[in-house]
Amino acid sequence: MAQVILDKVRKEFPGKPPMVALEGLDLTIADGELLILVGPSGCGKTTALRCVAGLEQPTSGRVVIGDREVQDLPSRKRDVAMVFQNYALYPHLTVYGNLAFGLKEHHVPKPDIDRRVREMAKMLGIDRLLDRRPAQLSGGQSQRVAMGRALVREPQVFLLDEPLSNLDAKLRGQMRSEILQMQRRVGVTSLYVTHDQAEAMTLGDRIAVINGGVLQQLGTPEEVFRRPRNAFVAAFMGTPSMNLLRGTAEDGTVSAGDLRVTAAWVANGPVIVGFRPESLAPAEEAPGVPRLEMVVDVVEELGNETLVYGDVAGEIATVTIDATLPAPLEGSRARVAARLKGFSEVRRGDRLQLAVRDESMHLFDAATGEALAARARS
Amino acid sequence: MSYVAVERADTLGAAGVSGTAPLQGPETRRRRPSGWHLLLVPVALLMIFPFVWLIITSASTLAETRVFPPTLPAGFPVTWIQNLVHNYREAWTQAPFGRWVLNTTIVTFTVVIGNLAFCSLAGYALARLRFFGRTALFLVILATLMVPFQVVMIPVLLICKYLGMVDTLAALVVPNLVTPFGIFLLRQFFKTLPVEIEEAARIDGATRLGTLVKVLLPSMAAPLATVGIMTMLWSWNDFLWPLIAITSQDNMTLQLGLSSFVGSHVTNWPVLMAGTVMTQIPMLLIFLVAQRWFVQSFASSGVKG
Repeated sequence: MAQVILDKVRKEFPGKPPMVALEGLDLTIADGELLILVGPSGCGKTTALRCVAGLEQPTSGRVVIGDREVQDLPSRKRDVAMVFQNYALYPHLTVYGNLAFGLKEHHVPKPDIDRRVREMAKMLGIDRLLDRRPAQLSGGQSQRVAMGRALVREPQVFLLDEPLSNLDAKLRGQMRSEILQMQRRVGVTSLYVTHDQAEAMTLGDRIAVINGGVLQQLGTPEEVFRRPRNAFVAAFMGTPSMNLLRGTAEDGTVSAGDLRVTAAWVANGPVIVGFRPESLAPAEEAPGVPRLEMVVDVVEELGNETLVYGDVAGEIATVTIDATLPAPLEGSRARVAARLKGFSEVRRGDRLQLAVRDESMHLFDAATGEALAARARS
Repeated sequence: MSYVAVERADTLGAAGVSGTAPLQGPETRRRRPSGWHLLLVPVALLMIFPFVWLIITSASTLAETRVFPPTLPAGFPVTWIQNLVHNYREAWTQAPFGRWVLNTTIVTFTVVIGNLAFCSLAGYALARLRFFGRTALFLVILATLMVPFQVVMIPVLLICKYLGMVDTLAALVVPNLVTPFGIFLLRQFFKTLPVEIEEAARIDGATRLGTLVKVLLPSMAAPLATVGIMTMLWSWNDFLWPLIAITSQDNMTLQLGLSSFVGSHVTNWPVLMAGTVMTQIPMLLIFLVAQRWFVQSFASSGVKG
């Protein structure tokens, strides 16, 4: 096992103009830690993983595994193992052959190979599939074989590139906990790339949020979720995303549409006010806190909770993540999401009075998007 | 590009991955006669007629081949067999036939192995390695496919002469060790293989060459068979290049040797046809054994047989 350090790693792909995938990434993954790299498509997270794997050579910067600088070493000399999104099992080999391949390449004695392959297969519950070929396996089985192939070598670093994205939702949940258990049991330093923030929140010891090749925030899932360092992290983590409204600070009070928040430390000028959908509650449940009036547009009943989308007075602050975010509305209305407990009687077109629980309110600089303070008080 | 996908499926099937027969199974062979057979049966007879006539001529006497209109030789079956034995013995003893068989086998075997090895390496490099001028180089190789052999044969002969290879088997082998067709076909197939498989092998500890030999090539049985079979057919049947490059009888290949049976004034047709049948026997045997690969090769390469 070993710690992994990415020191000012920059990766530029040739082109006109060159495409910068990583812009001086600094990251330290502790020995035995499971670090999640999360970010939208094309943010550079897979490139970072590939730089550690040796599949990409950084344009500049250092990659250190244990006490060795490895950025100039070929993949095979780095003692890393990787699980690919499409599993990349060798189609002409059986499951046994796939698991044994890396050990053979490292000249492990034959009896040891046999023992380790069978132990790993048993641990992953694929010991009955050893004679099958990849084309005869289901998605979940292929996934386990890919994991086994990587772990059987007992590598210093375990790399996973969106390993669950080809599975259906139910299997994904199951494999998520299996990966976590396996990682804990083996205790190998792991780097896990995903664009799914639910995976990031549930799996990682720490999460690194990346956008545009730049590290946005590194912290525990709780830190990243509760104290986002900037508006991008705030908008990216959480489903539905954090509501972000454009506001103005004046003499210690921030105004955004109907919303009034007291924040004495904020200098006068434009700001972004952020609050999560779960911070909203019907006004009668929380008297005296900042309020919003929402004109309900879409109601999604999920059984244990209700997601309500509607317009409020104000202007939405857009953070470029991807096309799935709601586009800013014309004029002086903004789209906001609210997560209400249990079933709700709310219908489309209703005017809903909502209270914003102040402890989860966030303020960001309108120009830079940086967090002004972890929380604002009303 | 759809043919490549077909090949891929067949590769997996041939390797026993899919668990089903990649080509026609017993069900299709037992298909009931349809209207197509009214067309296919006469066409098949038309195709097989020259070969049957070849064998019949090799069972004739010289006099019987000169009759017009042509008739079947007399004395079936005893005289036929006597003529056959006589003509085949004549063909084998009149010329160093055994030597020609050996020469052709050496040339064909070496050319096939060379093509499989070098076309794989070149195809892999053109598909996967990033280097300056890769696309331009590929286009140049493709362009050579469009140049008829007759245009380049004299320059190639001059190069062979310069290298001292004229009238040696090396002249038949070296210029044909790698072909643009093979490079093109394998390069296209390499491009269809997921790059992650190769990356996985490299992370697992294999070198580039190791990855190629242990992971990629075993997944490519169908395109390798295509290149191998087509090279074999072409090399075994080649006549024009040996005609130019080889002068001594000991270095002749079968096809070239056969032409020595054709005289300026008189041609002993029964003996010539006996020799021709003998040159075809190895190819026929290979065809019978590897029939499905042949069909697959021509279907997948888009080249007519």
